[in-house]
Amino acid sequence: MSNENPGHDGKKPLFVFPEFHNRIPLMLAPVLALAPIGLIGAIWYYFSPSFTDVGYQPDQPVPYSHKLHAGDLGIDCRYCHVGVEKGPHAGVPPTQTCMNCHASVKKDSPLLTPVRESWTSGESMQWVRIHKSPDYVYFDHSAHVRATIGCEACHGRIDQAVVVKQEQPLSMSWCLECHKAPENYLRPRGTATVMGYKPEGGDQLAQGTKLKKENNINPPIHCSGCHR
Amino acid sequence: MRSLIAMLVAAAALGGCRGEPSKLPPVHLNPNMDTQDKYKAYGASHLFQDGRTMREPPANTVQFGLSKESDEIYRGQDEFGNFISKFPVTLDAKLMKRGQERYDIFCAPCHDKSGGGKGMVAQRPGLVPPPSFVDSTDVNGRRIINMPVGEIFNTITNGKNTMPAYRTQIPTDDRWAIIAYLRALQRGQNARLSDVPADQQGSLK
Ligand code: HEC
Ligand code: HEC
Ligand code: HEC
Ligand code: HEC
Ligand code: HEC
Ligand code: HEC
Repeated sequence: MSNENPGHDGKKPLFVFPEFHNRIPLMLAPVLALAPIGLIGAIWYYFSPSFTDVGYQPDQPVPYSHKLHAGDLGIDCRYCHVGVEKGPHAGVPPTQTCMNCHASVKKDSPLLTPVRESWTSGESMQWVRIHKSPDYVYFDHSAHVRATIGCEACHGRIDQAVVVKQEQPLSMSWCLECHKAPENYLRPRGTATVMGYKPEGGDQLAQGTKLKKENNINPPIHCSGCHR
Repeated sequence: MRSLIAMLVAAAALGGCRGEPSKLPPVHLNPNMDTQDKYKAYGASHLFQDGRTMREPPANTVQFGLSKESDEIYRGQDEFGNFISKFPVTLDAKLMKRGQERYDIFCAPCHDKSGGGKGMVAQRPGLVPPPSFVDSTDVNGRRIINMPVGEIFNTITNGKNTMPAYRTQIPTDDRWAIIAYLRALQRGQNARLSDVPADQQGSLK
């Protein structure tokens, strides 16, 4: 390195750092100290499924309304989601199920064109999937319906939803919160699909504690229960 | 300090809040093995021609446990092809309760909970009005009250006129449970004094 820096030969320096620059490290110290906290906070807030997944409400090929069918018409969830008591998947109904009624009800409605096309062509309806737990997690609807957790506890008031959206994070802490204290949600047998359910006597905890004991409900909290 | 706060607010505004409705598919900032390359129930498939992961049973095969050797149970017919009038399953309180639950799920939307044919769907325009199961003053009601159970089974299984077929939605056992409950509805709404045990008839006279 040659020593040609102006100023060293006695001339007026071209640039001198102002004096306050000496205090910059001091000023940065609290910001740098706070940065990890902010970073952790941001990860906690933004990386959580409560942020990334909750509220997912895609457009569906047909503006099918649960409010009309399950709410106003009072059709039970199991009329369409037939798998929910039998296996891991509730399942989305085949076109045949819609045509049970829509072969005669609103049979010329333009809104139902994709359903009729699927019916004549035999191609599946392309419903967009909303709820999805990661592939390394084992989840089974039938165990939960048998123990009688209301659909409402995990999917919200579907009977009031014109368009379905994800209501709960489906995260591990969310699963465990209930698995550690299922009495907050347990209902008497046969009421899983009732929406807006009120516990008898209005005391969920008393009812849940009793049911938990009677039916010997014991949800897994060990890792291999859900990661098998 | 003020610019720091402004930056935080801007970041939060850009990111949005938890739980806001969004049409965009969720982005997992750390994908882990959340979505693995494997076929799952109800999924799409690029391998099979019909684009579905779930397969239909091949033609001329019988699913394990579903061999339909009994005409009476699986078709509601005797060996000569006549509809049976006697239940091929044992009737008990458990079957009746199951029947009630299944009836309320699958039949009540059109036929209503008491079998009168005034379900919520039937009250909207479109459907051919379903007949009453229970009204003995009506010609259709009388016909269904006297209908052999095998014929009702056939109606549920294969449908009739505009009545849809429920073969795929309701398993065989449940169809018989529903018919048992339907019979109970008919008896209950057309009860005669002689149906009441003799020692209790007095209180109804
Ligand atoms: C008439 C048929 C029908 C009935 C009755 C019905 N559903 Fe659905 N359900 C559908 C269809 C079709 C979809 C897919 C389209 C959509 O997401 O809106 C669906 C989607 C859903 C989803 C979202 C699935 C996903 O992709 O993650 C949930 C959760 C759900 N239903 C719960 C319920 C509950 C709870 C009830 C009872 C209160 C109910 N459904 C009653 C037909 C029905
Ligand atoms: C049990 C009977 C029944 C079933 C099953 C059923 N629907 Fe409906 N649906 C109705 C009735 C009744 C109406 C309202 C008709 C009216 O408003 O008069 C309706 C209305 C609709 C409408 C609004 C049509 C319009 O023009 O306003 C859409 C869209 C629809 N249904 C989609 C579906 C889809 C998709 C399925 C299958 C998942 C389905 N329905 C299954 C009974 C049914
Ligand atoms: C304990 C919480 C819980 C309860 C109770 C529950 N669900 Fe779900 N549901 C889930 C989870 C988690 C998923 C995502 C499953 C997956 O990714 O495999 C899901 C997915 C679904 C789907 C999408 C299709 C599928 O099968 O993956 C439908 C439809 C559905 N649920 C309907 C229902 C109905 C109807 C009920 C009530 C009878 C119900 N659920 C009760 C947690 C629950
Ligand atoms: C609202 C309460 C609740 C929530 C939320 C919940 N569970 Fe459960 N879970 C239960 C109950 C109750 C049982 C039944 C225990 C029994 O029958 O002894 C159960 C049982 C299970 C079982 C055992 C099933 C079997 O076949 O042995 C698994 C696995 C499971 N849950 C996974 C999950 C996962 C994964 C989630 C989160 C996506 C979840 N659960 C969320 C209440 C809940
Ligand atoms: C009640 C069911 C349940 C039990 C019990 C459970 N998990 Fe989980 N676990 C889940 C679910 C659901 C997820 C997915 C969470 C998500 O989508 O963010 C998960 C995710 C995870 C992940 C990945 C987290 C990530 O996002 O990187 C790890 C690691 C994990 N679990 C470890 C464990 C260990 C270790 C145990 C035992 C102490 C355990 N789990 C017990 C349900 C469970
Ligand atoms: C989508 C509405 C709908 C549902 C759900 C429905 N039905 Fe029907 N049902 C009808 C209609 C419409 C008719 C009249 C058919 C005609 O004569 O065109 C009918 C007729 C009948 C008949 C008389 C058939 C005859 O010989 O005249 C019986 C028996 C019957 N239904 C039984 C049932 C049972 C059992 C269930 C439940 C598993 C059920 N239905 C569910 C609409 C429905």
